[in-house]
Amino acid sequence: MPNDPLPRQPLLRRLSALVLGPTLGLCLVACSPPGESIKAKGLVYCSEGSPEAFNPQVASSGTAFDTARALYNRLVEFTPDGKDLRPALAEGWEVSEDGLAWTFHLRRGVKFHQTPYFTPSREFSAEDVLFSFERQRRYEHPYHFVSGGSYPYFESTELGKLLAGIEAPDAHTVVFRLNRPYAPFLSILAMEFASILSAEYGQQRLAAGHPEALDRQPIGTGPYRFKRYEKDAFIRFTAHPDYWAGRERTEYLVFAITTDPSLRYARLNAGECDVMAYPLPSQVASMRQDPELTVASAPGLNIAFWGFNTRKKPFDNPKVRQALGMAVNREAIIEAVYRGAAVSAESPLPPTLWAYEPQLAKTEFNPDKARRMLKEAGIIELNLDIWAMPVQRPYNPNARKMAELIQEDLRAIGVRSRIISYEWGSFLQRLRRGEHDTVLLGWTADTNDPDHFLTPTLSCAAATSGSSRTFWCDPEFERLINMARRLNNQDERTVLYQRAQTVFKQQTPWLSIAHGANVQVARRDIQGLKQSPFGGVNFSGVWRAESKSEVAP
Amino acid sequence: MSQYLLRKLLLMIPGFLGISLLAFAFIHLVPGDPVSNMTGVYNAAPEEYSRLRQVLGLDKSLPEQYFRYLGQLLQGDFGTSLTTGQTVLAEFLVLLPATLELSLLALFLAVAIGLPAGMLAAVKHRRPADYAITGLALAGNSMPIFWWGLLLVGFFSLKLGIAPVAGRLSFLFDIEPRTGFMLIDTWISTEPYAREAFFDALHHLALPALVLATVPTALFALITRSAMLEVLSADYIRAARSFGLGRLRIIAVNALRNALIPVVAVLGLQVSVFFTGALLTETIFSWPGIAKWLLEAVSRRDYMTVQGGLVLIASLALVLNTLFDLLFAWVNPRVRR
Repeated sequence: MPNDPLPRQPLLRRLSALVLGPTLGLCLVACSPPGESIKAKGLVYCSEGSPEAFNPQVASSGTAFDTARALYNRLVEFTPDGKDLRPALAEGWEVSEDGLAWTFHLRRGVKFHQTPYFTPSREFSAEDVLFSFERQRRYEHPYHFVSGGSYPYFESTELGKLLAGIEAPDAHTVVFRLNRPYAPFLSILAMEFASILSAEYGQQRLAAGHPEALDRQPIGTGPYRFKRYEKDAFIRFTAHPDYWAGRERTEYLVFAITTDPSLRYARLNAGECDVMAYPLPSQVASMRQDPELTVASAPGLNIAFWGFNTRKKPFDNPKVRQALGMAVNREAIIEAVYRGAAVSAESPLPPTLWAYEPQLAKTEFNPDKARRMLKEAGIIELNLDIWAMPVQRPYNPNARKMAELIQEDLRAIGVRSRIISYEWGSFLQRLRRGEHDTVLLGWTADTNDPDHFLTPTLSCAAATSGSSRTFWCDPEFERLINMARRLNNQDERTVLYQRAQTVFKQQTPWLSIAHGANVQVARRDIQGLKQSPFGGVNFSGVWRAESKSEVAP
Repeated sequence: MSQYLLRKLLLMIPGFLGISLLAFAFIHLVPGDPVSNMTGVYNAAPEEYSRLRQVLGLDKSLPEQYFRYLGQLLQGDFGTSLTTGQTVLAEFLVLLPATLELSLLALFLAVAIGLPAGMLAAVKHRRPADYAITGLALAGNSMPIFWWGLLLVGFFSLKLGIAPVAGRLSFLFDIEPRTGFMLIDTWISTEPYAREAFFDALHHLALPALVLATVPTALFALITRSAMLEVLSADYIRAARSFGLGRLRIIAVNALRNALIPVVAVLGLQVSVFFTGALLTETIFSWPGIAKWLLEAVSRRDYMTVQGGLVLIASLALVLNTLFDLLFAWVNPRVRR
């Protein structure tokens, strides 16, 4: 019997089963560990990159600010919908009659983080507020030149020029003295760079000869404590047990740094992440259909516009600008470029802002009228350049595509156009020099103050400095926004801003296209996550529902 | 045996010299200027450039440079990474356990599945079980790993959502890397969720280990099968049977030991195959091991890391090959003359 050298025996089968069984059972599918799972108390966020520092004072990226929101508090903070300011480390505040002195009453009983590298001996006080601002403000401060001595947001908000001095009359009161009345001041204090750091920790690091540790091993008052960081791999946090607003339900918070958006989505899909940063517009459509995921979007505090270079003919004529605006089908753009994740815009200000003018006349889509108006303005033949920005932003995920759509619309009214794009750095440089006819660009505000929308983009100062893409300078508009900046009464400011918006609409220095939405995706059992109109992510008050019944439908 | 051992160990010397020569040539053959490639400094000022040339010894003759390089290697200096500033050896040692853990588990799987499967096929020669095993093994042996890995990820992770897509451990667990072997570290850890972490590490290992084990498993099955067939028809097996020895005893003791000889021989040759497989597997699963590290160094043009890493990996393969040769000699007395 050459085919079967040995008679069969069941033992052999048992032998192979003995070896194969446990090997195949190697936990490929079911792996039920004993006891309660860490998942119930933990949360993983697939973030998009490594932060440049753990101190928002010296940082400028959204990535760094996301970690800062977990670690620190500001004196005041934005409400989750971004419309209002509310008390945080300051329980209350008042401003003097002349608008020059802002007095903050500090919260008592606020504890800093206790970690293996720092044990606080005292609670939060005015000393910490002074420490946090004086480091950025004063060259002679021992920390000023630590970690490079550059404070991007302190500088760009020009707080240095605005502040005359900061005083602490007692341990629980701080007075900021300004050089001129400036209404947006309070909202500036809600920005991440105005986070409060521990003065005691700073002194300790300085005495130990390692002041730079302050920016790498953070100590704050925020909802989460820093635990461990590995560049390009992860950031670990644990809940701050003595958090003044109440201990978080999420005990373990991890930022899993995943730069590739496809891998982020795959990890979210496989349940390795609970929340994902910056989904691509092309991914969002299939995410919306997945019952395991929730997609939250909030209208962003931003604006995408088609700007006209008002220094060039014929774009110096408001009639021409209005006519060109009428030729553009913005509904089609919102559908094709944003895939619906945007609201159409009329004003430079988003409708969620308190200063928004709801009565503003709409720019209608009317190619025939556009053609007529151009003729009336004496334009027989028009050739123009459309500059399309080369990067992706929430306010404009694909400027190139938008430019192509506008090109088609213009062709319909007999205007020929060319699409132009450069690498981002030289693109901005050439815009500054005014080489463009028209440009597709946008703006994202850091606060909810209308001034931070209008002054950097539409004021005469911006036209001179080159940060305005339209070089538009209108005396009436200028007068209105300058007046509004100096007033502290919101109702009075609203009236002025609404008039300014009407002036803007009549002049149309740019065609407002859309306010892009900020989109956030999470697994279905994650609760309490709110999308901020400023973008970014905030894990305060975010937790995992323990059982299915707790999951909101 | 000791003479054989000595001979094998001495043979490693020319092997290592060959590796070092190739690595030395590498830095002079890659595109770009050797000074820039070795320092990461581009557009250096002329005086700075000539100073660097001198410090690096690039002004000397090539043989002199080579012996200088060889001296550095022998002192354990494998260069410094241009991007992280750490020594290549330190980075290598940190990442090696991840690759070893994956490879060892895959090797275990390959042996544990391939060997019995091959035995079964031989015993069931020309029966359905044999055809099934041989067919599967042929398919597995010719499987394109990258495609296979992505297929498994697509099915188990993305479609069913029951296996992780990447990494060694769920991000929630904070396990101190003491040995670098995740299974050991999670086992000895005193963190509150260490036991759960151990299972999680196993869960993460399963899919990549399966992918990496595919080709070797198939190979072991095929070789075991043919070796076993040969042995089973040998006279001494017939003799053993005629003595009335049990079937299991004959297979497990008399036949298997002799059939293992070619298997062990192949095992030694598998080291480099394993590394190629690990390269692909680590890429698919974002596994933080040697292969992924080397690939990233290539994409960052970190030539010092690539050079040092290649020397270290080739040396490791050399050592492992020698070890397997010795193992082979131990199971097969005919080799050590």
